Amino acid sequence: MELDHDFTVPVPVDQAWAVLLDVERVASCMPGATLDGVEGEEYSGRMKVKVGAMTITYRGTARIVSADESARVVTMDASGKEARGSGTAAATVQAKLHEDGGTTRVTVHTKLNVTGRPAQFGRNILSEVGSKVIDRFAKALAAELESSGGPDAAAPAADAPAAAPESPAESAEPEVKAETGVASAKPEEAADEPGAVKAETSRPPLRVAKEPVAREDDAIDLLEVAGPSVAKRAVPALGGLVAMVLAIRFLVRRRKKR
Amino acid sequence: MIPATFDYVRPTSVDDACRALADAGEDAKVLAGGQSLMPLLRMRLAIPDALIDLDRLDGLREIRDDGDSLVIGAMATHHQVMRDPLVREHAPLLARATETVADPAVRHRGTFGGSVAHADPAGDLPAVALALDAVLVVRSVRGEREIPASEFFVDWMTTSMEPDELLVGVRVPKMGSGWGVHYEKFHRTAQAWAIVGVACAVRRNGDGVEEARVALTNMGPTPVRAHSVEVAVRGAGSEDAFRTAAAQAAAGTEPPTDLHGSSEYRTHLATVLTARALAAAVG
Amino acid sequence: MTVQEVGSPRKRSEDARLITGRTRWTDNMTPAGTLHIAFLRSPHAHARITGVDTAPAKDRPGVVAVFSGRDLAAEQGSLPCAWVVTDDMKHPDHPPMAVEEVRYVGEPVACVVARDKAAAVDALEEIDVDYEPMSAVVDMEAAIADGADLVHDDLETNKSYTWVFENGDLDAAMRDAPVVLERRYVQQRLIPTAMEPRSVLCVPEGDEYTLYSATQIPHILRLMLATVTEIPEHRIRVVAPDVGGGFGSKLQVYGEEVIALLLARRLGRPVKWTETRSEGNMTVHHGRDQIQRITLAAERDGRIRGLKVDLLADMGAYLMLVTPGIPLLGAFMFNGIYKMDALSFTCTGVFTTKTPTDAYRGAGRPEATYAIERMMDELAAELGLDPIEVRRRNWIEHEEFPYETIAGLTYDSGNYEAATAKALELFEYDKLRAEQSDRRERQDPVQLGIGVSTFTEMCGLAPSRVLGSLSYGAGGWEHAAVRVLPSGKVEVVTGSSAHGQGHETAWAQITADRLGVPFEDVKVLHGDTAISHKGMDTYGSRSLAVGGVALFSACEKVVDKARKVAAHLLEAAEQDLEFTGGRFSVRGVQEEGRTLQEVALAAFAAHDLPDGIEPSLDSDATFDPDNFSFPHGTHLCAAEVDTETGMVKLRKYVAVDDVGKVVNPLIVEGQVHGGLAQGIAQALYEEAVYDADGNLTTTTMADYLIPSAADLPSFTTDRTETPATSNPMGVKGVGEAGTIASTPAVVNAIVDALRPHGVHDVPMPCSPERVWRAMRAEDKPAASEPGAGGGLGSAGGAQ
Repeated sequence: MELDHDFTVPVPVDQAWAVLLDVERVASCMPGATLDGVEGEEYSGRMKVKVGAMTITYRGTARIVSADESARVVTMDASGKEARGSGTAAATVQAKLHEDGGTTRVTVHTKLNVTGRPAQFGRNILSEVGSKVIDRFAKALAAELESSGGPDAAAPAADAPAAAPESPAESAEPEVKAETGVASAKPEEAADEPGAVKAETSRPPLRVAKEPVAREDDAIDLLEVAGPSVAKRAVPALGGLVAMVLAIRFLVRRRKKR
Repeated sequence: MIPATFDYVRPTSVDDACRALADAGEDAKVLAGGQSLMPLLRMRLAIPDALIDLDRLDGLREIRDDGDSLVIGAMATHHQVMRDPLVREHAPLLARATETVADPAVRHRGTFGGSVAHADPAGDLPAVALALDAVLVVRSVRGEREIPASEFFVDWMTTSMEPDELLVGVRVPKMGSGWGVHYEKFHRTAQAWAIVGVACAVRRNGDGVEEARVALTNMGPTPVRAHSVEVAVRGAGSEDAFRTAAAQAAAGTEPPTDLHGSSEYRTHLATVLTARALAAAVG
Repeated sequence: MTVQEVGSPRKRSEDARLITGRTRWTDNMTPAGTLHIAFLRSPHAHARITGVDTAPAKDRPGVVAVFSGRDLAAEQGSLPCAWVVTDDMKHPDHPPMAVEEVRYVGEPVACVVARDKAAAVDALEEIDVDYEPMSAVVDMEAAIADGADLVHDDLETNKSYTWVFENGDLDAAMRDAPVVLERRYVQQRLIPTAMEPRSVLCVPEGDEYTLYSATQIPHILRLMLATVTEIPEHRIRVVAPDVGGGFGSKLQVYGEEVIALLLARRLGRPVKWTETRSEGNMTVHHGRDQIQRITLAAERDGRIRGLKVDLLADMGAYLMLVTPGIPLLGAFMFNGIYKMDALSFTCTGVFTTKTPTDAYRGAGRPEATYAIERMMDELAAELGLDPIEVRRRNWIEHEEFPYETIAGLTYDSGNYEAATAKALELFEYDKLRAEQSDRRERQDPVQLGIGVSTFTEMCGLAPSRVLGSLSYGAGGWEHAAVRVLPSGKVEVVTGSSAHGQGHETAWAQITADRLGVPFEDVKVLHGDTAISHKGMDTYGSRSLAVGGVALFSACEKVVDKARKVAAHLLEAAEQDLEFTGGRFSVRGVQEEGRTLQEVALAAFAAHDLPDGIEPSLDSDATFDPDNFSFPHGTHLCAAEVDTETGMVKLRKYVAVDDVGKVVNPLIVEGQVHGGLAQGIAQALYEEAVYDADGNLTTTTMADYLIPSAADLPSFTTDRTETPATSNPMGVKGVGEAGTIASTPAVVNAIVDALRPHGVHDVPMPCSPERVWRAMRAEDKPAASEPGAGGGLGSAGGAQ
């Protein structure tokens, strides 16, 4: 399956380019992804994809296979195996930056190959899920690029990886997460509660509850009023992808300088 | 086809069920007949930590008259719903559509609540709930709330229920008199999913349609209400007029492409079938 | 008094236990200590296996052993292909579990043996396989293009073989022909969907093994298992207990059967495996999957001059038991029931990274019948003739039998005129044609089409000499034995093992009549190599036409022997005895006589037997036919096509079949009904679909559509009876007739309905969307060819 996305971010090309080469930051844009470690050029992690009653978790690796600075094209390969099945998923993501009057237009071309159970249905789970995952990834990437240079560039979360170099313990800080029942949940993480995820869609914002439900309300409020860090990072990432009820959990353990 | 291991809970009261759901966390699933969930479990596409079986909650099988509406217990089976005199009288569209669900074996085990909560856009009943302006009654340890169908189906197999919330019933407003209903289901074999389905209710006034409710099955990630048709069909009284109104049925939808039909074909079908459903409902 | 059993519509005596499942399905049997096998299967269509780590799986609770293909590489051998169709046929190794490379989704890679099934399945999650993905080869035409990715690198090509058959001067037939039609038809890939999934249980006893399998071929399987594993044939007993359908899919030697035998030997304990439905959809051999290019030359009066057939046949990733031979079974059938001067047939077998194909109900003959019957309708349309009339001008007339066809077969008997006349009457052909015109005139959104199929098929596989000439690995005879027990009850042993056909009833009916014993006194034994020591098993509508005739002959032998004993007991000359109603008596002296039961007891006691007569009353017979049998028939289908949605609804279906003499009309009707459902399913519903990466997307019945009674019309079936002359019973076989005949009847009806829209083909299965697209393609002026006299173009509305 091949997918194309196209978006423009209000930062100069050079600045966007730097972000694109940062695997951790790029990986953080992948919904449901968790980076577990790095070995040389290769990053390992997990990705949990949840759709309705279905849940598939992949374990795998990602690396930048080529970065052509003159052409402003970076290609990243990611591949994984189902944690509890025999299926696999592989994606080649190619992002190309185009100078566009001080802003940057980004075209993302993705080749996605999924095998195993999710690929074995006529009702196309792949297209329902795959395109949404990538769609959401592209949006999150747009936000990531934007946050790298916009007025909110100093957003703590966006800077967290940079500010916490080489320190696994310290950097084990959840930037964005949505899994409930995690003891260490910080207040702003609530923005990622599923309720909030659903509350923000590509459709007009949806009021989930007519009758106030405490947690629900908090979630919505948080989404609306949360500081730029969460809003910048979480909202675009979650927007447009309600289907995924996705847990975004990004634990930065280590940072590798390029 | 053997499911992965899970904790099995079979509560005997709704409160216990809510508590179990709250305790089980996000990776719990509710079993309400199992006609969609069991296959996913067996194929290990669903790997819940806990399965909460509502089979013992007999109270949720009740279908009762509640003034202006019916309240259909979430565990009422399809068979029960389609035979129920209250449903046949006050929500005939639901009875009609339920008769088309899968096959008799599935209808005897599958439940209305389960089908709605599963929120499969190819399922017949989510569109019916949407067309009827049903209200979904959900409960958790935090309390009970009601969600209008228009806000319930948020994306592909995804509802606005919280992970700890349980669908306990569906409030279906009674359709007064003068309504005609039809569910037009287009499918290749008897027990196959609808390629496209049209749930339709119209109230006639003289020669024309005064009010219409139209919702579509399998025309996008969620069931969709064809509001533009509902508006356009007002006053229509002939097949030609129905066709003209139905021409807008697919407006704004994002029908899927799959093995059984392309997006383009579904778009075409929606218009043809909507015209037919309107004509059949007018009678 | 005994009633005439043969010809009586007796209800099948085996059905109560089969329908309730209270019987010996393989999966119902679990001897003490049985271990359960689960297979890990490739998710990739094509990949190199770079590592398999089974260690974590071995640590799981309940797990006894875990094996990868490499672990068994030394002993697992290569699965057999018994039909080497050409000397230079490319024939790759086919390990039961993949060792180096996987070539289709579902190919076994490793297996877990555990104390219970759940433990085995759970442990699969812990096996870690590293794959290096390779290019999937999904499309046959692309696979044989230059520079195509290869399924088997070492073969250096994706072509397995090219096989040619020619008779008559095709060039002369084509040259200056007034009408030449070229068409391309695709026989989609189908999944034989037997009610009972595959299942195998292997029980070791010392160095001997009893293997129970849901198989159609216990005898062939035993020989092949011995060959593959080098366990001596006499140490292996194969039992096919009650088997719930096969349709050809269980005419196979499966890797799982070989692995079960090897694991029983390794572990010294019974092992069992039963597939799941979705596992089966991926790994049971598939059927059909051909691209047919057909050229037909004819006179303007409709008489056929010649036919050219060019096939690509998808073998899938490997050659299984008779994979390469399946399309060739059709080679002799493309001419159908018609006379012509020339026939040219070329078939190229192509490897792809898909599940291997092999026999599926009809095997080669439905493909051929589809092509010729579609072409006959095309010819009729081209010439503006009624499709019945075009056929009438070409078919072999009943007084011309026996008739040697252009394909070199001798059709022994037939009466196409009679079957057609009966069908037309039952169908009310003229009335429906009138309705069709009326709907056309009214431009009714629902159009009516009438499809014709006048078919024949070759059944009764097969004369051993013919199989030999086609390089098939075995003969085509069948065996039967009859044992009259001391009490007078009768045991019949047949080498043809039922998997739903009703042998137990039909064989008992034949025996009851021949021996004059009550039906209830006959027990039919089958499907166990220890009981039925020789046989060629069940496929190709051969049971009655070959095995039934062997039984007939064995009964005759029993009567002959009994006559000698009876003559001795009655102190009369053999030639003076008559045998009626199970009793021997001296002609003209009815009072004195001996029943067969009395003779049997005397033969058992052996106190007073004539010289040279051995004790006991039993016999053995084999029958090797000198010719195939040729059932035929006329099927008519009326289809309503909703031109707004493309939905097809079958309005009426009439099948008049001539299967020769009939043993049990109820069984015949059941076979026809089931066959029709399956043939209609190919026309309208079934298709195994692979995506571009080689994933099978129809692994469940939600996507692989099998029609139920709710989707089918009520069939009108009838028969004509033209006895076969190639066997003493005059029987022909009926197992495949419905499937072969119905597919073209349905598609012809759909195309007939839409001809005013310019449609002259709809690719199968004719889903509503395909029908709709065919109409749209033809409605656009640019898409249809400007009225060329010679033909209507070749691709039709195919998308």
